[in-house]
Amino acid sequence: MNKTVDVNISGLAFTIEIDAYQKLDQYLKSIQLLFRNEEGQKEIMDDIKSRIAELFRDMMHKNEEVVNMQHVEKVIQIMGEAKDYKDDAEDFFDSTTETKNTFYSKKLYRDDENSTLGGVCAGLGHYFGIDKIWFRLAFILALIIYGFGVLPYLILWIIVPPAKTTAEKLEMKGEAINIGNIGNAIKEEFNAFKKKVNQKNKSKWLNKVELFFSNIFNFIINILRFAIQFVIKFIALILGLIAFFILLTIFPFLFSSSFFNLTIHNVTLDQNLLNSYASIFFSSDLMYYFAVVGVGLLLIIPLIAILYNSIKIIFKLSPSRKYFVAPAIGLWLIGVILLIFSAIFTINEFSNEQTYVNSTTLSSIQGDTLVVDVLEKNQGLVFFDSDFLIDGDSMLINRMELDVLKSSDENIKLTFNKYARGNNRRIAGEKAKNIQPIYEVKGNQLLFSSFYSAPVVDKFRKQKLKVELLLPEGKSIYFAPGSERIIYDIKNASNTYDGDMIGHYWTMTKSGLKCTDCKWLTTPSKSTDDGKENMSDDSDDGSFEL
Amino acid sequence: MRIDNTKAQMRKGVLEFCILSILKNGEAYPSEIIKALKEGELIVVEGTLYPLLTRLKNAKLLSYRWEESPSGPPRKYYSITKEGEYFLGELGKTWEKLVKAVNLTQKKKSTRDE
Repeated sequence: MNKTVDVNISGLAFTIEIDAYQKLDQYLKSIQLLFRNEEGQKEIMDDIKSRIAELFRDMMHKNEEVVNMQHVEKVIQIMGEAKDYKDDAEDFFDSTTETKNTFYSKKLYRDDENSTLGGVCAGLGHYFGIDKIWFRLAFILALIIYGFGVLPYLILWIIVPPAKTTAEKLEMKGEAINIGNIGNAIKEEFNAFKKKVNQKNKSKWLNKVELFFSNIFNFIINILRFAIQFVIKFIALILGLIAFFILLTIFPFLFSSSFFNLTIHNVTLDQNLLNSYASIFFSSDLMYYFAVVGVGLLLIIPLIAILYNSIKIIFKLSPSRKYFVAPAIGLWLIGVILLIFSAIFTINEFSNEQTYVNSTTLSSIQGDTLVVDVLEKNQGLVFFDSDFLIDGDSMLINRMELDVLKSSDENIKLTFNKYARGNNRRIAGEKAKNIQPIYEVKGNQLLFSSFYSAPVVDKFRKQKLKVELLLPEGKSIYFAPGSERIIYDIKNASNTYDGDMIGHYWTMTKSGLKCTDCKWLTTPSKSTDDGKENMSDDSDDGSFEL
Repeated sequence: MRIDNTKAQMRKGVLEFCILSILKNGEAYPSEIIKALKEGELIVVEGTLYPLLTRLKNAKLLSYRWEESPSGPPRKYYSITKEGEYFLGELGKTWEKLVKAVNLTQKKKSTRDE
């Protein structure tokens, strides 16, 4: 009894004798070769296989029966020899359907079967129709001269595919089984050129030479094409990697819980905190989620598209993507709409500004000299440089502005100008009212935090605090080092820049604050605006003289 | 000029017309189409039909649906599309003209022969 193999044809299992199997396999391959450049090749093959399976099934009376040579021959008789397929079908549709790519041309492949190293030379030999030995010699020669041959060989090895299937081997050798293997424009041009030369009665030898050059020309075109493909793939790889890593970074932000920690300015914020930071800006939680989802869709969809396409380009995949494009664009647009929605609602809450003013008298200050200092210096606040912090139910906003003005009476007073924004003036006013300065009075010290607080529920609505210290005439003030964080554009008689006021004593006079211990101001003189600018350049150094 | 070649050419021209005509009477799977075509001796081997059906389908003249078969792999049941019916109508007109032309020329020939 013959050896048998089990095969699966279109989902049906058959036991088939080995020689019958070989015959069938050969038959199917020869048909496949006929349709290799046809659009529906796979479908046609599936249909044929499916029919063959059906025919076998009809022939097998009992399931145990083995498919033998007679069965296969009978099937081939019913289905027709490979040549019969084309006989009736070919040229049938050429003018009406999309069989544009029916030309066959020689293609450059690596010939693994005849290789010494990568089969590059053998492939080139097939391509140019000359013996591979010449290419080997050329590469060896190029190798001897400065090792020049290594790189081109390696590049060819990498980019030229090996001929694997029968069809590819035929293409490699240029044995086109179809007529009309001249189709592309370059070749046509060369034929025209050839004709011209032919008219000059050239010899057969010349013809060969010219053929060789035309092949070289095609080869260069092919190399260029490969090079461009290579560059495209390289770009695709880079873009794909970038997209991948961005995705990797933003996914946890949008979807994960607090396991992901982010470090900004040496401060580690966990993700929940980050969420609460962000939610402070949006008008409602819904708008916040809208914004998050919107940004997510806006970013993720193009990134996935880039990743998908770069993978497709790199691995030469061609899956149908029409089912994904429309939903992806739809989702992206939803993202845009959500974001716009969220932005409009949120921006609306910034539309009206309102100011709330209150003041307090500092009656407990003793002595004639008031010392202005910052609170953080003593308390050692960690987040000294932050612009914004959340501490329980309060937001801490950096930084308030302190101005010193002349008091109209004998009292030292603080006036708090509080600004905030909201949907309307009433809401803005309420939010402004909720702003609280952070300060302490200790003896003759007035200690300010550069932060001011507002309730978290008020959300961040551009809350701003400007403090005016009203100093009666004759009283003095000392700006302790550190207080440059809070003082802002304090008017004084000598037009001294804020930074230079630090560490000096200033007395309130009729004409404003005057420095009493500044060396450069022993003879008070009015400085010009230019002078003020010059001084600001040298603000760290108190010994500057006009 | 080979007689076989000419015969094949003539057969090819009407094959498409016949397939569309068969399917106009209702959907069918390839074996049924083959049976009808074999009766008319239009095709001898089955293999010819499959690429043809695929091309007609790709040209949107035919469509198909899958149906489970009791004795083998699932079958494709082909049916004619709107476009296919229009196509068939046009072919029908041409066919009538051709028949007329052939009859006319043959009659003339036979009268001349007499």
